Amino acid sequence: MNGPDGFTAGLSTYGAAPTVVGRHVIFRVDVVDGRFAGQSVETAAVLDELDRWPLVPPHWIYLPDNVTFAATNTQPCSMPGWLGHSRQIVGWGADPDPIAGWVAHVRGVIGEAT
Amino acid sequence: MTARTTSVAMTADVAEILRDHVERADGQEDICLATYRPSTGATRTTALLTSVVTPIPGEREVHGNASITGDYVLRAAVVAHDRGDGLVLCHSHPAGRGWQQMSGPDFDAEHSFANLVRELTGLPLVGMTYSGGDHSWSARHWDRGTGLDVSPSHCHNVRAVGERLDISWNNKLVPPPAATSAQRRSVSCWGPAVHSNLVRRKALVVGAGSVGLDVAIRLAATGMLDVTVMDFDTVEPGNLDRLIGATPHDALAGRAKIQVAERLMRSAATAAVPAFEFCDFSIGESEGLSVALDQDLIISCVDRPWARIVLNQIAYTDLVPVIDGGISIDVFDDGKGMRNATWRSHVLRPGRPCLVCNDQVDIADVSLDIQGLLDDPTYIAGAGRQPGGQNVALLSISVAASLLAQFVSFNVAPGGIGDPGPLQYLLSTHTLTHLSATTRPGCPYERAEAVGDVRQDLTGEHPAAEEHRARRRSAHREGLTSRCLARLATWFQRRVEQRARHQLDRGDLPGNLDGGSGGRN
Repeated sequence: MNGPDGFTAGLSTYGAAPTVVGRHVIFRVDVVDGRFAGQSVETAAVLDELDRWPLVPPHWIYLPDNVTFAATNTQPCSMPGWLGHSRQIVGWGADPDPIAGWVAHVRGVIGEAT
Repeated sequence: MTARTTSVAMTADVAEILRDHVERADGQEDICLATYRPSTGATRTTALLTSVVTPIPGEREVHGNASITGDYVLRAAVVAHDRGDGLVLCHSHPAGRGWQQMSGPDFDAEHSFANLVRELTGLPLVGMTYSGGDHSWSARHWDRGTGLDVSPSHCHNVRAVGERLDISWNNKLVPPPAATSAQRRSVSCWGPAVHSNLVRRKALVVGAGSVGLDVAIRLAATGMLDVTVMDFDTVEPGNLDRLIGATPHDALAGRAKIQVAERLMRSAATAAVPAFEFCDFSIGESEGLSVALDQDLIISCVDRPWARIVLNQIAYTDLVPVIDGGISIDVFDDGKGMRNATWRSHVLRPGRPCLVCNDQVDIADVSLDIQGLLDDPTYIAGAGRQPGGQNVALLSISVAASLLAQFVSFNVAPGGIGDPGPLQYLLSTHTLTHLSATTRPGCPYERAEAVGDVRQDLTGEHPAAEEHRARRRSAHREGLTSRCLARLATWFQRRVEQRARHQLDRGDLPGNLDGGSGGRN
């Protein structure tokens, strides 16, 4: 399954408990490094960026306002208290499961939070 | 309206498996079934072979000729149906050479199964013949009529995509062109048979910028018959230092880059009757993708991630090989000098790593490109990115040369060696390196090999392309007199060149233009 449905179903199978709120898919990531190590942090992807999942993963990682970075490029989010963070992706396709690859990518980004 | 054509494509691996089953040591005919997926372009439908379904004992008899049982067809059709595939019936002519016509028994055999196969699979039967004499293929789609009136559309070609692109041509439908007098030197590089096979290949050049324009002109000059150039962009003054052959008047007139390409290609063309097409869509638009699926191969001369990822996809999903490359110029941080320049080229095809596995596309940038943010000054400034890749006419020719060298290797295979894999040239040290990139275990592009029309749709609305087209339609940047004069000049130039070509082809040459027998150009 591809697209937003494939993304959401994949997160469910992965155990990330996704929910769709408006134009966003919100799910949780267990963080292992940095300020949020040991915590389960909410994150989101926007449905508009999921039409071509998994061939084209999202660029923007949406995080609650309390997740901040020393340097980041942001854009507003329609969900109050959230921001979108621009991030490159290294090594897409290294994980046979694209959901696992995306969660690992987000986990790595949150691990850099200050 | 262009009539629809048909073709067959397969990987070299599938071709080898199929050949192993129908080519017998005892010289008799043999027969085998296979499955396929359709790939539908603007004017051509291609059957992409996906697997070979070999007969089990009792399903096939060899008796000089070969025959199969209805049970074998049923079993294979169920396999095909369960996958959403169609069915291929392939037999061999051990002593055959070139494209094979169907004998009466061959026609009757395929005709007898055509309706049943379409009922079971929902797709037309595809018939194939292997010529043992020269290892070539011929094919037809049984897609016309129904019942007793069912009949085949004979394919234009059969393509096997491996280290080289092997193409078997239906000489009746795509006649080998006679080489023109202007092509003598080109033909002498690889011989008339190779030249004839090469120039009939349908090629698409995506991007008519500094690299693509040069590539397209050289394909035309070599004698390629069927070249399409795709670009939605407009000539701007800032392009003139790299768009060789474009003029200040092109920029003033706001001409489409494909108009410049058309002018220069028609001037350079050595084919007697070239069939060039010019398309002002983006490959990211469904219309552009449709044109791309009609091609035998594509040369990617774009640097935008969305365009490149669509091309990356169809290299695997539709077995349309893509020759891709690019240049990166590093300048010192203070802007006072060039640190290095690097150019790369590679062929995207099954058996080679895709653009993402090759680290040639940042996959996260594709989404940005689709959203238009790579052209958004606010986003670019906030992300600390450079507004656009540097390039210079002195080096874009090197990229074009690298792409064309890959083209020659892949299509002509000098010394029997096909595509060399990814190549990189470092200007500062003048080092050419063969790069070893490997496919990542989860690559979704390479896993979708030969899926054809069920590929995931990566196309969409392209506001930048729409804006360029709309601007050209509404703009009248040059006066009426200038427009009329420019059109008159183009008309005269074409007439003069046509007359010159006819004169050269008749051999009607002035005494000092007899060509010579070699020496320096």
